[in-house]
Amino acid sequence: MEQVTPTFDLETLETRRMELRGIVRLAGEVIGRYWPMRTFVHHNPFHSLEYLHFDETVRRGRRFLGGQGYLSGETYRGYLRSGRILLRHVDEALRPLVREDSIIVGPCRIAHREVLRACLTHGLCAAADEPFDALLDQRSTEELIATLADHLSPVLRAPTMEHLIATAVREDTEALGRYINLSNWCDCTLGTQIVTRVNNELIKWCEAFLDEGHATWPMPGRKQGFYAAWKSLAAREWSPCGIKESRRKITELPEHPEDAVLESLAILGVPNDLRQDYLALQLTALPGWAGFIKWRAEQQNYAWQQAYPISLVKFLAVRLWYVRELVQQTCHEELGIKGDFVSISAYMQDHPHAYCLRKEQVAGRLPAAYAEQVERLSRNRGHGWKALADRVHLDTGPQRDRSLRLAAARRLVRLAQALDIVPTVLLDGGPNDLATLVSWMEAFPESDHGPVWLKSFEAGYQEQLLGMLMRTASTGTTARPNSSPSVRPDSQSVFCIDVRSGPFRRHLESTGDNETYGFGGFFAALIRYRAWGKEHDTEQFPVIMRARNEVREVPRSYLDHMVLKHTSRTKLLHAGHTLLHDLKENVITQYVMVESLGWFYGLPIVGKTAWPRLYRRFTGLIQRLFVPPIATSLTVDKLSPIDIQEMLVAEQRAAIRKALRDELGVRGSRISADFIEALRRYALNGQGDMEVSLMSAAQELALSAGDLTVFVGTLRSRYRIDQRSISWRKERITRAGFTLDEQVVTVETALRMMGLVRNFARIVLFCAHGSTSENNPFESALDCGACGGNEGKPNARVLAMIANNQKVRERLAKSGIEIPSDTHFLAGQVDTTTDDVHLFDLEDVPPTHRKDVARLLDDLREAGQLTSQERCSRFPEVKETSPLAHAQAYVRERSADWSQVRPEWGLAGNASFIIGRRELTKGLNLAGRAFQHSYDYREDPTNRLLEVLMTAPQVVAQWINMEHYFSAVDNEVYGGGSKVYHNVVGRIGIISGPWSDLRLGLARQTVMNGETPYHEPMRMLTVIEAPRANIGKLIGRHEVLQHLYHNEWVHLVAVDPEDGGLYRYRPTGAWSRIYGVREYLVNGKGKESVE
Amino acid sequence: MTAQSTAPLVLIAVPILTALFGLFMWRSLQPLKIWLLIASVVSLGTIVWAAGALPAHSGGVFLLSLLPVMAFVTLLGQPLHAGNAPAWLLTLLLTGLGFGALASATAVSLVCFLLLLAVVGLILFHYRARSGSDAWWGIGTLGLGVISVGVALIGVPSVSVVAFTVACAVAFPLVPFHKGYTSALTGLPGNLPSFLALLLPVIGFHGLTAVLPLSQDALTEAVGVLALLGTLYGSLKALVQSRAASVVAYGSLAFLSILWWALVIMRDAGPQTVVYLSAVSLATSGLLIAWYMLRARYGEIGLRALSGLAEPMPRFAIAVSLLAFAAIGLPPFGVFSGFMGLLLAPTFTWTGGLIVIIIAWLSASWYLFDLVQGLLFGRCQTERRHEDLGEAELTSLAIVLVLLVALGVMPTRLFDVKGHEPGTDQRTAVMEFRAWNK
Repeated sequence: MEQVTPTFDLETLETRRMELRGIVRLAGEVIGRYWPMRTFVHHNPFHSLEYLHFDETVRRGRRFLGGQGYLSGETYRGYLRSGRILLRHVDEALRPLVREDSIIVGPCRIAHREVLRACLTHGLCAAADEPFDALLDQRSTEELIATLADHLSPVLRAPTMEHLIATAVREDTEALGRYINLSNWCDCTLGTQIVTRVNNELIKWCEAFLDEGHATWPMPGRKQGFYAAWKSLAAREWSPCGIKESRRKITELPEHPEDAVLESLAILGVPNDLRQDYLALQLTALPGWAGFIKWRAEQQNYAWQQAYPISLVKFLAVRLWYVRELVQQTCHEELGIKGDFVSISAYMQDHPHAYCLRKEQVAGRLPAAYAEQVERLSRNRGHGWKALADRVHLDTGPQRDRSLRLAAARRLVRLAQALDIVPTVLLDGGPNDLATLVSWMEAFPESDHGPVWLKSFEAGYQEQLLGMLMRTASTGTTARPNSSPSVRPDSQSVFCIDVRSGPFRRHLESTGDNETYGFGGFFAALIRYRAWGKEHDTEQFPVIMRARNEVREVPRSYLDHMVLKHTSRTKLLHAGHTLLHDLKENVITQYVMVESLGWFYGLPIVGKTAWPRLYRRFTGLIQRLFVPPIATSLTVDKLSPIDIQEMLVAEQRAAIRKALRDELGVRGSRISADFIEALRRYALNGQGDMEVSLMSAAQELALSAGDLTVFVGTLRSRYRIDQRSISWRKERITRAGFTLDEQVVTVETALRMMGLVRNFARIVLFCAHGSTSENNPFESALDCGACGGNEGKPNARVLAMIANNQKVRERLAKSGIEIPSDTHFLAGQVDTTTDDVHLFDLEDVPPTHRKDVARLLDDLREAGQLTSQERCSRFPEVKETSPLAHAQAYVRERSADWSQVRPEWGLAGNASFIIGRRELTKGLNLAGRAFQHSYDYREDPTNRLLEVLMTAPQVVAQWINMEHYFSAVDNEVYGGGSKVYHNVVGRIGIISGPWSDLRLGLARQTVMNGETPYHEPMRMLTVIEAPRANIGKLIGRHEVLQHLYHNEWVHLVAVDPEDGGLYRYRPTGAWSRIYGVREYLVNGKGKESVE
Repeated sequence: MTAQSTAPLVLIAVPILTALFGLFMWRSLQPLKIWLLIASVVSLGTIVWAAGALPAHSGGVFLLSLLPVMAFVTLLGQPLHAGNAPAWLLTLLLTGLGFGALASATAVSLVCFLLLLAVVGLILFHYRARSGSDAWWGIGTLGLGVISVGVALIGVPSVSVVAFTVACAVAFPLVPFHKGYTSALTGLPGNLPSFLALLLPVIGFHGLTAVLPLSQDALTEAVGVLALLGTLYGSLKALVQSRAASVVAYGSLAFLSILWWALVIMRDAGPQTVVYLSAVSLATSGLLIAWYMLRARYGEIGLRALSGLAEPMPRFAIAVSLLAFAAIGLPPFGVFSGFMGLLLAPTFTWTGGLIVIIIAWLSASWYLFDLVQGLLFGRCQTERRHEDLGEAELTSLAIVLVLLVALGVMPTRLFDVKGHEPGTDQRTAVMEFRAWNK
């Protein structure tokens, strides 16, 4: 093959590379970012396309990914039959499409509106293909259909073969590069499997390169980056995918991946204006792997990315090489043409009959006799294509005509039945009128029904929710509430805005005088956290934000004597695990392992399977016995520079003492403090001769000057006692903890945002959430999304500790938040799988509050049981209401069951986001479908807090909503598929079976209940209790909000406190009042809910 | 006339006469179908009636009974379409000729065999446009079969044996004489392919059991090599087909070639060979019936045009999956027990040919599962109008499955074709014929 060797000067080359990187970035918009599985982050797979209208994005998704953006018509019709969708909502949604036309057929007038509605409700536009040589039984209605088909014969005729060929060539030429890439073209025309083969190669390389410690034998050479590593290894493969001379070709590839992409695009002849679309098509061939690479390439601080860099450009450089080689080879061998854009376009233009017949044959649409002739002509490169096309036309033409008319007649009969018209009446209609009816139906194909159905579907839910809110929304006042209310509640608990908190909050409120609030589960603490004994940090904040502070978990000071024991036993346990793992993975020892220890694994298998709860308790007990847990605290306060200096000095002295023992064998009392200090100073600052005191101390230990010099070098290199390391440590330590100002800001922001600024109870609980499940790669999807897919426990503890700080309270009092001295803040965490609540740092609770805590614990336990009972009713396996104790036992069983594909429903069902005072939703059963953020507009005269809520928590909620939406409407494309086939790959994600694209989105069992969606896929409805004018100003200020509302990714309704009315925000930017719901409530009418 | 001489005549006459009578109902599809179904049952009844009077070499009551049973099964699932009527009538006609070839003790057997091949050839000629160039190869091969039977009738014994072996190889397919069989299975209309998938191998096998003991070593060795080649060829061809009928046809060629090879090695047609033959033919027939059900719904299209049928057609999905399991030789179906019977037979010797057999088996599990997987799974094509199997269609497939299970679990001795100890009185129609008794 002829190689293209562009000759550009360096500057031009760099410009072209930059230009290409820009094109790749734009091409990558159509794929979502994919976070690693261990910190599963719900996100909108089309986040990058939110600047487009929702419907347009869905169309792009269909074009590039082949995904359906709406539920199937049949599913929506099921909702219609069940009453979930109402006809009046369908009519309302149809209104923009309806024309005022009508047709008279016999005695009946059929309006355009009726036809469209019948198309939706009776699926008249579905399944239009009528095989022209079907041999099915003749049914009773078939006679009428046959007669009607004859009646239509003057006006309906199938297009000729020539017409079909010309249309196909025109459309495909236009689509080449935009909708079809060259490898797809080869597959569809020549019956090759280039796309599959290239995908398989890329899956192989991505799996190996992106592995994060899962593989026993990691891929060599990864430090060079993806492209270079592939280049060095693939050049040793023998003819991958059957590509000839692959070694030479790979070796000759340019060093820069950008140059390789440009070279491949040049060889494939992709025109400049199509490059973005063409590359998007290449990326969407493996959206999972490409999505993960997209995410990773953006994480410059991600350790794996720093070690083994990869980017979409590198991915494309590798992919396009396979594509170009296989396309060139195939086109040359099969058609005798070059495998580039121009040649392929020319082939379609110059050989239209051959092209179309080949395509039909590959698609399996040609009858066997013609298919064989196509094969023969292809094999012999014959010239009888036109003759064959003519013969096909002659032989099948009448059948095609008949088939077309039968299909139309069948539709007309079904239309008549849908409109309760006797079908025989159709015979009284003129053929042209009937053809018009058919054309109306054809102009509204099933693929266009989605937006109409979705609007009808959403209207039902919105009407119900807004109806409920109407009951509680009342004309408020913009004045600040009374600053000293008379009665203090027993407790105040702040839960995450997560939809799962709703039922728990409702039940907790019902158990006593407990107030609840909703707030982002990160509790305004944007921290990077390292748990005690762990080696890695977790990022405890929403992914759209950045960490501000670092916090570490440390043992409480009075437990110092236990720390050593705990550490040594943990290390022992870890060493045991590592040994077992190494023995299992080693080439030789694994065989011995199976024979000798294999049976031992039978015990956990039996335990986990037969008695999952008991087994969990037993293993927990063993672990606690061996490594007893110790009470911990968090490094919330920031150290002063002096403290930091002292801490570092102490660390360095300990390190030198250890080094003397390990390196020189000098121990105990022989080492003086002065000697260590002198060594430390010299290691940090010393360049020239050593001090005399140091030399003499060394001589006392029988160390020569040379020994000492070598030892100092070791201190610097191995023990990192040098200026550079000390600066780095200082910088790290400086980031740890919060300054007093930061603490005040954090608490004040949190309290003001949730509207908790007065009337504090004696106990205020910050309740985070986490989950517990077994054998569940999606476990982190059940944790807190606001905490970056981690448990929110550290954040709750941080906020509680800060809020209990007296200095902070003094400062808060100055800014108007007076926290009574007897108010104690507690941290806790609810397990959303078992509904158990654990409280932390109870050692810090004053003795005066013990009874309060005990009462709160009782209430939390009862609320947990009630929540379990409510949740049980939603599990498909549970047919009747369970008693409280049974319900609790049941959810715990699910949590411990390793065969359970659905330990809890998680966030499935989410549909709305309510920002407002608790009074708006208190007592309402929102069925765990609403994110609820407490917000008191009266405490936010500047809109600063609302601005944060609309641009941060709302965005996170919308991501969660869209993740669920797309996973439910097309689980195979946008979701993760069935959990049954999942395998963890590279510790980053899951694949289906042994070999597949990285599966995006949520598993089927998370959103589907059998064949019907458990999660009703709808766009989120945000309800904000605030003056419209304030909301409008914020929308005008933030592009992200304009995208969400104007492009209909999110619906917005304001509960305006000035008149208590509900107002819908239209995509045009106008507000319209919602009347119907109130009317519906007052007099049971209200047909039209929205004006 | 004795009962022994009249019984075969009655067997031949009943289906042929009913087929002729059916001509009067040509335009009324429903009555015609019912009439022919009744005729099949009556034909089965005549076998029961004549069981005691049939000659010992009649292939056993079991093989005879399979013909009307499969005529019934293949007719039962047929949609009422005018294009199918000729195939229905021909089914009964061929059943009669099949009875003649199997049960007649004289030259009538050979004549029936000859006529049967000729009729199939003529039908193929009539429908030659449906299967392109393959049709001509098929017609040619069937013509060769007709000539071979003719030569067997009149030739000297040594020539007759060779000629009759060739004729048998046309019906009970052996490479390179397989085209008549594969063309018939892929190119004929209605229920004929699924019926012939059983009829042709049974007739050929029956003839072969007669001629095999007379064959010279050189001939049998050559046949053994052809059988192994046929096994490989059939497997490879099946792997590259894009039409379901072709996959099934070439797959069955591979499986039947295995039986040829086993017969050559054992030099004896024990009951296990009958089990294997019947099971492979039934599985082939069942898959063709299933494919025809799709063809009736979606027209004459290739495999790539269909996918995701499991969702809209669950009945079909279950039936065709079980048939595929049966066809690749999973227990408890007959193909498995037949094959195990062959391997464990006392006269079977283990040779290097087993490697080829294993390759054929592995490739069958590839192409048959690929076929079923492609049809049933993947994206459901909502643009097509789907309709699951009706009661009659499901019943026809269920009967095939029941028969396959029965073959797998019933005692093998029930399928003994000889009825006597080997080497005593097992002279067949062909052996009794004048030319070989000179």
